[in-house]
Amino acid sequence: MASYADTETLELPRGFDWRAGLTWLGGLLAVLGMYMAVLYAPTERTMSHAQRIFYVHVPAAWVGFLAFGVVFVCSIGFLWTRRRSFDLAAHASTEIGVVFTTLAIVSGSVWGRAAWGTWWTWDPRLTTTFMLWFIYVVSLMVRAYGGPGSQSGRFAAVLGIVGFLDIPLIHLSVVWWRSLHPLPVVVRSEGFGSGLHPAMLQALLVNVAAFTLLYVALFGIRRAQMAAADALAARREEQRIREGTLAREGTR
Amino acid sequence: MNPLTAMFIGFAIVWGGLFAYVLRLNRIGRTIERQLRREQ
Repeated sequence: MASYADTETLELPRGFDWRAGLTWLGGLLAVLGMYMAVLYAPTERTMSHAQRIFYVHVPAAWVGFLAFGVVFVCSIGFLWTRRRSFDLAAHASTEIGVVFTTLAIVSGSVWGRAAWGTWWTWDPRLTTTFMLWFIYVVSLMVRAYGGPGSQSGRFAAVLGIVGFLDIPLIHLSVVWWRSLHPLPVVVRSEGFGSGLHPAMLQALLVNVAAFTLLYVALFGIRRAQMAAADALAARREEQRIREGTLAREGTR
Repeated sequence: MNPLTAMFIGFAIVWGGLFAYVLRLNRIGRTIERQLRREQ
């Protein structure tokens, strides 16, 4: 596992890195989750084995929401305080959220092909999820092409806040509008997980835990990398200015 | 192909992809580390 410099001193850390530990723990839980999804959880009556995609689709969507929740909080923090650390955290979480939301959309599409006979349909749940993915991709593009400085960070923060407002809409889209997408089976008024067989719920929760651990580890890794790259760039800029000043003094 | 085998391969692809993402981040980390060593 890569090590990352302390942003103040630019010192490389020694010894155990919690991010590496979490990645390995998430990997181990993923193996258990894969076993539970394929062999432990019972086969669903109507969808048969295609339903097992659920054990990747739901955790990926959950981590996408969690990541964009972090983006929301950090974006507010950045707009409020203008602290660069909030901006870096929002950037790191946006990247990971886009990866996991892409996974949720692709796995949902494969499931849709088996269940509905089509890879994609403009169903309310699918459309609102696509909007969410699109908003955060745009936010990454703003950061990539907006150049360095706080202006692209501010634009991305506004997108991060606006995008998050789509998440309750995604959750309620299957209730509010006529949708092909299955209704919620985990978070519902009848009780947590009441729409699922207990073994299915257990398999789902193990996979959710694996994905969540992986998110936390990836977030830690990416944020630290960005902070180190930032500190390095600042140091180079300082050096460039110092050298420029010395060169000017030398010519006098 | 047995549907369970297909499902298992599907899961392996997903986790393989995520593992590739971790490796990519690892590579970025090593690049930053090399730059830091050069600077110090």
